[in-house]
Amino acid sequence: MMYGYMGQIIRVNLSDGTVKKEPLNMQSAKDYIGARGLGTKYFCDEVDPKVEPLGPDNKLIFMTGPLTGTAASCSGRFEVVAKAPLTGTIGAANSGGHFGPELKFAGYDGIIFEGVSDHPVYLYINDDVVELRDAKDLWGRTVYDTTDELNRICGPSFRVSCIGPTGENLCLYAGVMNDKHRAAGRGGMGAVMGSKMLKAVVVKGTKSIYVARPEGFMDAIENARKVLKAHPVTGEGLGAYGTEILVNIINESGALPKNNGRDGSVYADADNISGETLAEKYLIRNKGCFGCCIGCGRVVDIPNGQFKSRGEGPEYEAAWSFGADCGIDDLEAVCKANFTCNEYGFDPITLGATIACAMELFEAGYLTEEDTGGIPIRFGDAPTMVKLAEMTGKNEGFGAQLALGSYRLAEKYGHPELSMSVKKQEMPAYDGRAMQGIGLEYATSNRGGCHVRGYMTSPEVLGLPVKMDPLVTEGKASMLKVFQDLTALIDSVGICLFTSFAIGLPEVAAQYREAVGSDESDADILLKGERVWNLEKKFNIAAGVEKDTLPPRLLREQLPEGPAKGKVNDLYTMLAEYYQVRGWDAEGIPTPEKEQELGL
Amino acid sequence: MQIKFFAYLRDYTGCKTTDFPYEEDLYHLAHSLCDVYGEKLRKKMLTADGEDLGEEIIILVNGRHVAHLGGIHAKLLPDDVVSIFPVVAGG
Amino acid sequence: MGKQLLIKPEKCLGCRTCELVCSFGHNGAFNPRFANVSVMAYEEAAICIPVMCMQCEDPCCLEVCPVGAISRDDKDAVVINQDKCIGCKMCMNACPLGNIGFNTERRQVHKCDLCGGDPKCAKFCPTGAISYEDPEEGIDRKRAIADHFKDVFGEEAKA
Repeated sequence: MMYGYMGQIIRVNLSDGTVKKEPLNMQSAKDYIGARGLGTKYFCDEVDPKVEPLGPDNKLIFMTGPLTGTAASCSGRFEVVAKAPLTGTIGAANSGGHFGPELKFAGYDGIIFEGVSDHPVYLYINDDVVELRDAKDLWGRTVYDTTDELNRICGPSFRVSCIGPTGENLCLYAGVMNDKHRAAGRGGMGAVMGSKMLKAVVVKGTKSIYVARPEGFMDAIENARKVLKAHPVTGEGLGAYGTEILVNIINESGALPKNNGRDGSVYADADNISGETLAEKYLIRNKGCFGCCIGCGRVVDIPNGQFKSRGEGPEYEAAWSFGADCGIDDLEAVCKANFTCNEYGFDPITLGATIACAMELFEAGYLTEEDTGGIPIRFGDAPTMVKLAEMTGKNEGFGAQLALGSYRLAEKYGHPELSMSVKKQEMPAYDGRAMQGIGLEYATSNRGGCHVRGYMTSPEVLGLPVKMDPLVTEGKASMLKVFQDLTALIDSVGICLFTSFAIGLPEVAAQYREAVGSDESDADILLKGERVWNLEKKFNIAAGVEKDTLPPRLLREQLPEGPAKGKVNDLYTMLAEYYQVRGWDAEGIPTPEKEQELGL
Repeated sequence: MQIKFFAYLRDYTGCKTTDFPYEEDLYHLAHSLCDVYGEKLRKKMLTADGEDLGEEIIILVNGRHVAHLGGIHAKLLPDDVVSIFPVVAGG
Repeated sequence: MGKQLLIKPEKCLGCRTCELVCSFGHNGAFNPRFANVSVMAYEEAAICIPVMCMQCEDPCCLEVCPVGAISRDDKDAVVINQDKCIGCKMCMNACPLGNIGFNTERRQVHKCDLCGGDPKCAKFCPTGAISYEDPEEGIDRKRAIADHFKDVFGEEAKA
């Protein structure tokens, strides 16, 4: 009997069209847990770090965790792993929804896709029946349309994970979309899927997930759920306002980048794009993923006007990227652009930040109407922003250049320093000058600019679990290491990172132990998170990824106003300490002692 | 002085911002605000004995968290902007 | 009347925690297909509706069972005695609400038994979309209307 795991994975060779089932590698599962960790372990064991991300030798792995599909709080998560085309780093993108649990109910912990198909296909999984099917009629269709059509063909209870037109067109930040509105969003996992001519995976299952110690497990999940319910963030705030609740507090803290960060990080019109305004004007209902007890999802309707539309979101990050970062306070335009991302299947953080970068390039005269097909691209122009989002979704005109992301765009026009990215992935909605620790987080993230690889906003702004001064560097390296390792652990067990606003290592570790039947200590279990982090780092080093740094703007241009006025990010002070805390050498390379400690 | 309220605190106060008579420190301001806006706000804003800030409130003075300004005894100036949030998070 | 399961679809997140804890409580494993409650999601209408047996006053399943395996217990739940059940599935056919399922692993029919008086679906529902209460006592729908009147016309509102 397997506990937590289903004990089986599917291996699909798209080049020769074969489908095999094989036992899960239980040693790897023990060492790397599941989802992000286990997917990365399989990937690193099987793929050359120098592989071309959009070539036939890259692999694409879908992996669930031992808590995925159980009654653990927020257990709808799974990970999509591949070498990321946007960054050249290990790519691991996490998604909620119902797809991951359904894959386990069909009897599988994960799927490994190899090779490239010579025609569009989708993978059909109905319990033991697993087969590749022709997807010729689905190619070119949007995420919504593809999902509806597959539900029509296969049945309404199938769960659909698919790519939209951006994945097919190899947009470097196309995501893998689940249940229409949930995304394994960052780094271009959808482009890898598109490069393999794999349009979708559909799954339905009737099998059971067992846990090792049923009574202990129910006690552990009941305890975690109680804490989540009682906490003001997970029990009240996120359900009422969604992640967009952050717009005002980050802005008031002087950390909401405005106009590509060019004009500082205090946006006078922030309240117009806030979670409060969304709830007041456009929210129909909140919604949860599988197993969720938080309900941060937004079902939103823009009833009329030029941006009339309906969909889910936006998240805080998208409200910033299409909003403040583009100098836009029109929430209807922000929503419309966000829905376009869901429909065409790509990442709103990178898209919004790339449009913002184009706006700065244009206003500086580095990009002209000749380059953009006659479109002036200026900060504050909401209709143009929405139009560019759609053009990028359809790969039309100047949209095809925006599909490369801000770094390649800015580099092409001679000013890569105007790309607000780390390792070519756009930083999200927190200014590293006003929050020193988040700057360190961006610089050291294993998948480039990212906020979900150790969320320093929690201690620096929100005071969770303790309040740290955002303007100082002291203590940030140690705190970040713990956050990074804990995040790797949470992503690997298969629950939502948002649980960590309320619960911590003891609750996560207890649920894991009871599910798989382990007697390891909390510290032993956190060590697995550290192991995942170091494995990712080693892959990136072998792949030749550039060193840990930040855009020059964050290191040299002082913030012009707000509580962090005059500040830049003091990265190198923190970085040296961080490498030391990590047990890495001065170049940021894990030492042999550290590797031995972690059993790498 | 200018006071800004956010999220569901706006339901308690019935306004987003208000011009409020100057108080020399946060202790007095917090108590005055609770006197004006009522028990729901007081429950979030202050501990039961009224001597410290509640655990479910975030207060910024000119964008700086009061934890770094002396907590409930933070000194205030007449043109300070005080922003008050329930504990929120997202991302 | 006694306690019964009540649903408030407008509160439902569609998380299916009810399906998970139900299947776990009855089978010791997580499997929504074998749960006695199912959440139906309507994307266009933006609503999810939990559906389960409401313990009919005049249960067709009980009437139709040829071997007398279905009875009403002291919690007012209509329950199946698996020792008597021959698996003929007549009850599944008879239930006009589709609230009797078949567990393909155990080869048994199954339906809501109110967990012996402490239904897990209601206990674990994160939003109160499913509750277990006496509709006469838990008059929260009436109360909500009354509260609204109070807010509009009460002395506090006037002041």
